Amino acid sequence: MWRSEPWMKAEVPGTRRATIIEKPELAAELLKQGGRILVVCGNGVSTVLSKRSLLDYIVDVAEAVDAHIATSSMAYAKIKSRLTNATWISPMEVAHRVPDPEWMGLDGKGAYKTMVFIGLPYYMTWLILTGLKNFAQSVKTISLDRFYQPNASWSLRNMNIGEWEQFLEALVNKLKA
Amino acid sequence: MKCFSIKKVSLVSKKDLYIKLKEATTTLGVLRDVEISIDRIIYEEFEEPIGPTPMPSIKDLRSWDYTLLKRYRPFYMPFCELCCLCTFGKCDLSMGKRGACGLDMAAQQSRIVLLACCIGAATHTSHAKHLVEYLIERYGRDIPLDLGEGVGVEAPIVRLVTGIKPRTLRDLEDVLSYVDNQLIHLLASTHTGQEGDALDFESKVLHVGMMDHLAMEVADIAQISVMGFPKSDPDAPLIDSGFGIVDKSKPVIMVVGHNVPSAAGIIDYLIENGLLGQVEVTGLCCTAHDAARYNPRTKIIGPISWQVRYIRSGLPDVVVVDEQCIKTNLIDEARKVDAVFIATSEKNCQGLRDRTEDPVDEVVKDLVERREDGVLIFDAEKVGEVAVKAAIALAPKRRQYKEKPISREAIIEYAKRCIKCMECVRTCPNNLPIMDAMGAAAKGDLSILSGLYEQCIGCVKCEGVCRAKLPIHSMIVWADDVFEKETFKVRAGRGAIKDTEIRAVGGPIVFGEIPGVIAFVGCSNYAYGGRDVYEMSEEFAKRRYIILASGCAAMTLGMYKDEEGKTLYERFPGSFDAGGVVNVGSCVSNAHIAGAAIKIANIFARRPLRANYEEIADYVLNRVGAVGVAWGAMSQKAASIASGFWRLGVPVIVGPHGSKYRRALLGRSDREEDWVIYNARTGEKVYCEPAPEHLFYMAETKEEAIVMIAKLCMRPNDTTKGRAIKLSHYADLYKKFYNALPEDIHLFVRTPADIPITMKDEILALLKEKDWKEKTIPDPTLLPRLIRRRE
Ligand code: SF4
Ligand code: SF4
Ligand code: SF4
Repeated sequence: MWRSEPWMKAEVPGTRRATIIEKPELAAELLKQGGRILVVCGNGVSTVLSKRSLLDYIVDVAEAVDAHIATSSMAYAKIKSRLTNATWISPMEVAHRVPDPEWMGLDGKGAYKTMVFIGLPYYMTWLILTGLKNFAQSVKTISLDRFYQPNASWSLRNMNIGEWEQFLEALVNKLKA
Repeated sequence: MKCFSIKKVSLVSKKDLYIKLKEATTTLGVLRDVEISIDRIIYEEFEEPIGPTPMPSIKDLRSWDYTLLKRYRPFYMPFCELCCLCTFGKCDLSMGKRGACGLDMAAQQSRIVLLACCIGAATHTSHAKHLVEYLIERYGRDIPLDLGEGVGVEAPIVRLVTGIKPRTLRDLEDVLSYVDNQLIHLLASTHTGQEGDALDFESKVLHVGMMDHLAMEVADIAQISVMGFPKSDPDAPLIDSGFGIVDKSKPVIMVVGHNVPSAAGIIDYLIENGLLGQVEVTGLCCTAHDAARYNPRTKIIGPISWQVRYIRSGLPDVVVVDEQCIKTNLIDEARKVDAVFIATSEKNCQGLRDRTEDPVDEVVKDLVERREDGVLIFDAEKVGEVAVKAAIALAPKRRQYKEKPISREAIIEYAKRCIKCMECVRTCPNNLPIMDAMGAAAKGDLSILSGLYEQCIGCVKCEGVCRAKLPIHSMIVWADDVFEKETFKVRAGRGAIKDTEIRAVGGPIVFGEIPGVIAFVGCSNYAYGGRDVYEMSEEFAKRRYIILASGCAAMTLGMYKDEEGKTLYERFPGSFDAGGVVNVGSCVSNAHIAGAAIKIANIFARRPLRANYEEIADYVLNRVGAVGVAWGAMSQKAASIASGFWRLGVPVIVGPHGSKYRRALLGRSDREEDWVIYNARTGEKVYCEPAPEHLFYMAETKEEAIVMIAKLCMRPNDTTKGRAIKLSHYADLYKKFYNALPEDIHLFVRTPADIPITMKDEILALLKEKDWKEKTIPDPTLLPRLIRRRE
């Protein structure tokens, strides 16, 4: 049961909750069919997991689906050194622009259909996602954090670090396959 | 017979029947600026003519608000998607639905923001009223206001908003009557079936923020004038601070809250009875600031987040609470260590028996003999006597509590009882890895547990959910007892900024040569610990920005030392000048920060001040490079303080927890049309630049905040020399953290002369890449009426 509850216990959502992505295959499918994708990274992407750093997985995901990365985290320099499609901008600011139907994205090439979140403090993601859920309903949101984010359209369930790394590894493999 | 023909009337309050006449034609002739109250007539001696908006009502500054809100649009993050404010509900407002009353989600979020700000402003107003009444009762209505030498503009916010030039405590009552009146209307707007438009709610948020600033100014100038606080003194004394400064051998009184009279009553009693120095008066939160301003022998323990750990340390024999931000079950904590509890405010009675009229010795006896855990006393002098006598009687009986409350061995034994349920981690607002720390502690390694100390905000929610009933907060705090020996220095709150200081630095600030004025304010709800605030302020003080501080943030600034063991207050002067670190005082002293911005417009630039809000705010927004940083903002008061700054044109940055205020006010640098202003010289409408880019911004990390602070200090009016200085800091800080030039730097280069010499080549290369075009530097304004010549 705890697997599908908000990770922070008091962050109870409204009446619509995220659908859980149980398997990496589903995450891969959602991303492949995600249209123009923006990946929003928080400072937590600098976390080193047992095999690789979280950042490595995320850059792989972004590359595989030709996504743009938006971040104001300390990982920006590293991301930018590996990916030209990256912009230093705060997650809140980017979310503020998304509901504008005239906004053409950070690269000026068009609106985003899907936004992926990872690495921000849990409650910040929770809040940004409720903003998008209510004011940018045409955008699909996916949380790849290891905690259930009820305000996303799709979210992973609560899991431990080992399970999470396995999930990310499998996701990258599926996307590259 | 016709006695009066009246051109403009403002009715301020029914109770006082206070009427303002802009112009009245009487049988005696034409009278201008007459103010009449029920039993007196004030013939204004204020030489400055009254401006366009004396005592504005909700609607009077609405067009200014809309000008701001069109540029800085709200981004709502519904912290709650339901509404349960009336019995039509609960209503689910999510995904485009409306409530039974017709309200949509955006309006509901802004309504909640307004409610929060009304709570904040009402709290400051109530505080101010209590203080003014207390001081009038003691000293009379005609006590003059005196902010110290060099302060001619004694109440810039009061003059700006109301048009009143207050001279005595009596005049402050008039100001508060106006604030009361506005607060009632603002709160009424949140009723079901009232306001329905999000932006109109936002305009009211800005109005209530302005009321909040008035109330804060009234409170602080009253207490400064009458209670002997430092008067605009850059060399206000350095106050001993930290846990290590408490002399355990003496009786100890703890004061906590925001409203100083009861703490002053304690100090007075000690002085009158020759006991000062024999009993420790220690404080937390703003009461500590103000008690230290009242008497510098008061010791500042620390910010609001240290309340529980301080009581659990067993040091205080008597806990005296006044109002605001006090943990509401502090009495339970006091009971656990046999300390006695005295509540002193009508707003915070704690279910206790009112002993105000009882003989002191009887009350003390009841407390010391534990017949009552706590008492309620509304008379500040009596609080003083009871607290001191109880502390002296209790101290010898409480010696056993003053040693470390939980031993290393006990912590290890407790940790072994952890059942790894994770409830604590999932409840902790900072998601601290408590469970892992318990695992290590059970094996004798307390380092992870003690490592949590800095980030623990002392909410104690973890203990409430722990299935093994572990005293988690205490285990974290006493896993290492270094903090118990720590001592710091915090400069006592100096109050207002002198007019002479404003004259000296107004030019360099407005032209950009002093790169910015940064105010670190607010509570201690830090996501990653207080060190962030220290490091941010040190970074900018070293770069010769002017650093202002107030409230818990001002304490946090003083709680870290350099290699030589010196705190920021010992390293940097307390003057309002480049490289100064200036503690203005408690929460209500925030008024002096807004006041300094207003005074720059008035004293340096000679813009008319009296009842001239829009023009001054337009000036501040476009010319005064000031930014507020409320890194640990928690309260409704912090929300109303921030909204007062927004209306005045001062951007505010909050830390990650600030996102729970549920709405940001963000500019769009990518929309040129949002940054079109008037060039007052020509009347031309021109694209200027996205400066300041945001009005209310939430940063995830201190590095992001540092870069954003430097950016938000830029103003359209900067001279090329000033802009080059500001850009060099912005670019240098961005490079330091992100190893490149900021990608938007071209937006802030108006002419080649703006480019910092040391970065010329790389910036020129970037400008070429971005197809940059030179812009004229306008005389910026958003107000058509300020255009001097139309082309
Ligand atoms: S105030 Fe409006 S939205 Fe709220 S419960 Fe009542 S009807 Fe519903
Ligand atoms: S007291 Fe400290 S550890 Fe416990 S929940 Fe609060 S912040 Fe977390
Ligand atoms: S709540 Fe208590 S028992 Fe559960 S993991 Fe935390 S410390 Fe252990």
